[in-house]
Amino acid sequence: MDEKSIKSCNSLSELEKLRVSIFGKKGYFVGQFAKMKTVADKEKKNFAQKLNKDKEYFLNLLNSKKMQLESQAIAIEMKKDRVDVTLFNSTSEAGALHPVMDTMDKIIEYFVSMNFSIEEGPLVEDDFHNFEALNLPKHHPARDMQDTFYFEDNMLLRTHTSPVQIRTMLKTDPPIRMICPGAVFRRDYDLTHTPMFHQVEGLVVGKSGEISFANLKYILKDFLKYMFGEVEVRFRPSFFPFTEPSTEVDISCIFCKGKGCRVCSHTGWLEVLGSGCVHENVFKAVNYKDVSGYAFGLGVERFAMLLHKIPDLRSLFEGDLRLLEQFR
Amino acid sequence: MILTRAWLSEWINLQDITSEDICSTLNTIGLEVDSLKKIRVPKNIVVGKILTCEKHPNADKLNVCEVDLGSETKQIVCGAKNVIKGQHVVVSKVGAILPSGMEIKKAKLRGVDSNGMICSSSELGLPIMGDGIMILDDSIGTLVLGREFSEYELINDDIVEIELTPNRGDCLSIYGVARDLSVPYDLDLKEFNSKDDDKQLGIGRVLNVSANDKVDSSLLYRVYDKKEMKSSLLIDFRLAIVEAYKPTSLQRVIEYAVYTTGTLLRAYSHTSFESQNNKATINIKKHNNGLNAVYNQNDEVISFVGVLQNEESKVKEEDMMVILEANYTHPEIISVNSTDKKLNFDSHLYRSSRGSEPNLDFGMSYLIELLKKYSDITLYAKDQQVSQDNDDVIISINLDILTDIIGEKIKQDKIIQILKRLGFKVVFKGEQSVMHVIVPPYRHDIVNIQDICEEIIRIIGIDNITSKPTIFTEQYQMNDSYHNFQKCKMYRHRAVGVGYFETVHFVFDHQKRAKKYGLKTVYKTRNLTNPITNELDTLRSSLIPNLLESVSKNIKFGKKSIKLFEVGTVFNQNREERKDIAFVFSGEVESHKVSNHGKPKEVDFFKFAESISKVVGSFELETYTNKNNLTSPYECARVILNGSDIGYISRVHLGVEKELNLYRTYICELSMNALSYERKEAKFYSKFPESVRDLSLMVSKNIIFSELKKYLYSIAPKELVKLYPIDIYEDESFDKCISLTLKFHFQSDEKTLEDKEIIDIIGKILKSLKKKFGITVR
Repeated sequence: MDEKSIKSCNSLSELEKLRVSIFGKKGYFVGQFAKMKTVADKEKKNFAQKLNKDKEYFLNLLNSKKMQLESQAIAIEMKKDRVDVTLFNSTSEAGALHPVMDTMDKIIEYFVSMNFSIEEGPLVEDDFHNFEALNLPKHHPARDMQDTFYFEDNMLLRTHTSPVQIRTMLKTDPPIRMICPGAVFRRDYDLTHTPMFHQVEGLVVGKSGEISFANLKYILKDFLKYMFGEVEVRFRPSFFPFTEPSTEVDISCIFCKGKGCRVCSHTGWLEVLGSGCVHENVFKAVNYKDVSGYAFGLGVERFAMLLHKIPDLRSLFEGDLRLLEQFR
Repeated sequence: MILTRAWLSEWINLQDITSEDICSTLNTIGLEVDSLKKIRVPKNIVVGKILTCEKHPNADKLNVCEVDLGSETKQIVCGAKNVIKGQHVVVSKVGAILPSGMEIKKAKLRGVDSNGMICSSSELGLPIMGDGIMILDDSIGTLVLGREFSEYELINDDIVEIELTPNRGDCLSIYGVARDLSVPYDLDLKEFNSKDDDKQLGIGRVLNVSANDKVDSSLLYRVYDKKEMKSSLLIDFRLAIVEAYKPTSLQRVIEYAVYTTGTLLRAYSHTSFESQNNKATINIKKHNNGLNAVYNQNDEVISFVGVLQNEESKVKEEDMMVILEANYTHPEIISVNSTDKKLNFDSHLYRSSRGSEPNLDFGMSYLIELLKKYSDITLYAKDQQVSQDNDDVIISINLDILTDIIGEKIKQDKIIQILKRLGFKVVFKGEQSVMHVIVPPYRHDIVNIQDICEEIIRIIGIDNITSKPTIFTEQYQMNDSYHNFQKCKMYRHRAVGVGYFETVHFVFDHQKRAKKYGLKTVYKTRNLTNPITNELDTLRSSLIPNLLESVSKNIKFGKKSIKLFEVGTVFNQNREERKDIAFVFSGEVESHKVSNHGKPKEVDFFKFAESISKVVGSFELETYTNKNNLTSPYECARVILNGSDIGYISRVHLGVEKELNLYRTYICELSMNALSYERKEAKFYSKFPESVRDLSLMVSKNIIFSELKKYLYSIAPKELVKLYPIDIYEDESFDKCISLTLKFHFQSDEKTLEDKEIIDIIGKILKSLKKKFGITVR
């Protein structure tokens, strides 16, 4: 038995052997305690005390060595599994939402939080809901603004989400606070137009005198701040057959901060919304009396392209992973 | 509509106002500015006069000119056909740098020295006006030899393009825009005066106009004899700027007058109406197409008012006597009746259907002043007219209602001031809070109080109206659409988590392709009449074809693993709409990486189905053969969710894979409606441990696993909680069997099962299997 061999021991099995040789039945201490019989009585106390002290010392020594060797063994085992973490393939295997649909979700969430209902309507519409009821009588020059897809049975693909306003007003009484998100269609296909795109339409109707142009301004400003952050908002008078007064809404260019760049055609402003107070002929078409209201509509692709700096509209409809992978 | 600053300045004093400020004001009042461009001719380009012009000795097409540049005379070789001695021209001196970047240097052209260049308009960066070099006249200002061309303000103009909304026909002219712009600037419009000397012969000698009482257009006629017809540089230049340049001088002068005043003007050859004794007879009647028509003596239609003129009646070079017409028809009459696409409408339709200038005398006088100024004509005195008494539009306005619409009180004085400036008349009768507003005839777009409101706020500036939050009563708004939106969003997010990319495709499909795939698109009687291209000639009945096309494109771009999905509308043969969710998975299951040694596996049926179940939850698959040519008959299944059929999962037909150059590709299309958005409810679960046993069975190849599974569940005691296949193994020695390894989970609700009990259950199961299917343990 010696201290040195314990201290220099480097395997748990060796250590166990040493432990047996010290504390085992045939070990050192058993032998030593057996010697007690031969020790003189007056020495006995001292002898026993020293032996117990030694015993405790070796017990501690063995235990601490054991702990040391055990943790060494765990460390070695762990080391076997060591990896170069930088070998990790940094590209996520997740997919991604489509930027247009994701933008639409974001828009919907704003209006839902403002207590708007979501309304839906068919993509295939009739002339009444898509045009006539929206103060777009046949032969109105404003119909030229929207080149329409027609079907053999005189139905059409809705050119805007506005027919859902009409459907909602026809089935419910005011007050109304609704949005309608969805696909719309125009016969136009070039660099900046696709035959299908998406709109979110909003309509608020209350009693006469309850809903004003100033209210419209308020919510649109708030909404645009939610979408684009701290931007300037500008309102320009415009024309839509279904609203009067009508206004188009611009935000200060988010790319050049209003200084003028290619995206904003050097004007410093980006047109993002159309809106206005609901035209009296629209209310007449749905037989609403003594009401007031506002409506607005926006193109979701436009918002998505601005928010995500997507340069090409058509690329949004091609399932092109080179674009889509960037959004995961 | 394109405007220029100098042209506008002929009607309104813009001296102290920058073009940028004009643009901003135009925007504020609702005339949206598309662009502002400034024409600035570079330095060292001056006015010159051609003193002599001789043929080049060594070149047929060149001339050698001596050009007077005021302080000096230069010899310049010129290649233009229209160069003539005595002309005033624009000369780029040596050292000038043209807008194209070309620097003018001394040159020798076929042995002759040339010290500069006589320029065409396009070389100066100006729009093209006819062929050859630009011939100057003093319509652009006094021509001073040697003077820098950049000093001529009428040429170095600022060009503003505005986008007019269809209700603002009154702004389809320079005068109209000036009239609108004068309001926010509080400026007076310059007056236009014309003189008509009475010494001439009366118009009655050469023209007789009559109309029946159904006519609802106004027309005004004048006649002149032509000696010489000329336009001017300024007219030509401005028409070129606004993209309205016409081939003949008369056409240009008329177009210029129309563009300036907004009045519709036409010229007819006198002979096309001539009846006898040098006298023309014009008869105006309502045509049965609803338009007003101008007839000649023989009752032939010569023109439809405001929309077209027959070709023969247009003035030709040899015509000496010319009839001028100014006309106005209410735009509604025009737009309602001009639907006959067989008629070849001219550019006037654009103006007439949006509202042209009703003041005929103004347009006609302006035109005549132009003719007198630049051409040599003899005018017949007086005019002949057909005029309509259009009733004034009067709108009664209660100021409180105005305040309600705007949401802010505008002072009555301010309202009156704005309306008067805009040309409205304001009258009070009785109550002071009710105004009666008489709309000027050129503002046919204004019919109600909301229109008046718009007029007021556009002049005040919408930005100056204070925004106010809406006060409303809270309402429960969580309808089906809301829940559908949330449900759809949940599934879309899950699909993304499983690695699928969301796509959006047009709802259109290619009929021919759909037919080839065996997909049934909408009935012919319900199909599109005017598709935009042949490839998009019907509505899609499935999301898959467009998705496969995108996969094909992505493979071309070099992608090896393509996972796409789409939520979108599809249409059945009756064109009824349904929302589907579809997935496509092509190629490798994951990206190349260390863990797969750079060799990821290709997707297979089970991998694909597993990924779908990660999105939509647990489902069963049933053997199924799709009746189309899009899916493989051997790897195709019905998806059964909570007992109902919600769609299919399949390998793409090998023929389609090959045709589109796809990798191994799987597709799945499910009905969005059928997917669950139910609240989950927790069920009782046993607190005792589960025991698991694997059993390899020799199963006949004819047995479909789902039958086996169904049978096993039907005979096993309730302690069998779950069983599923984990391996199949085939060997020639197995004859017509395969080895199928199943994992059985046993668990009791009451106690921990002992080995003996499990062995008992398995024994019973095996006995039944042997009896029913002849299945043995391997």
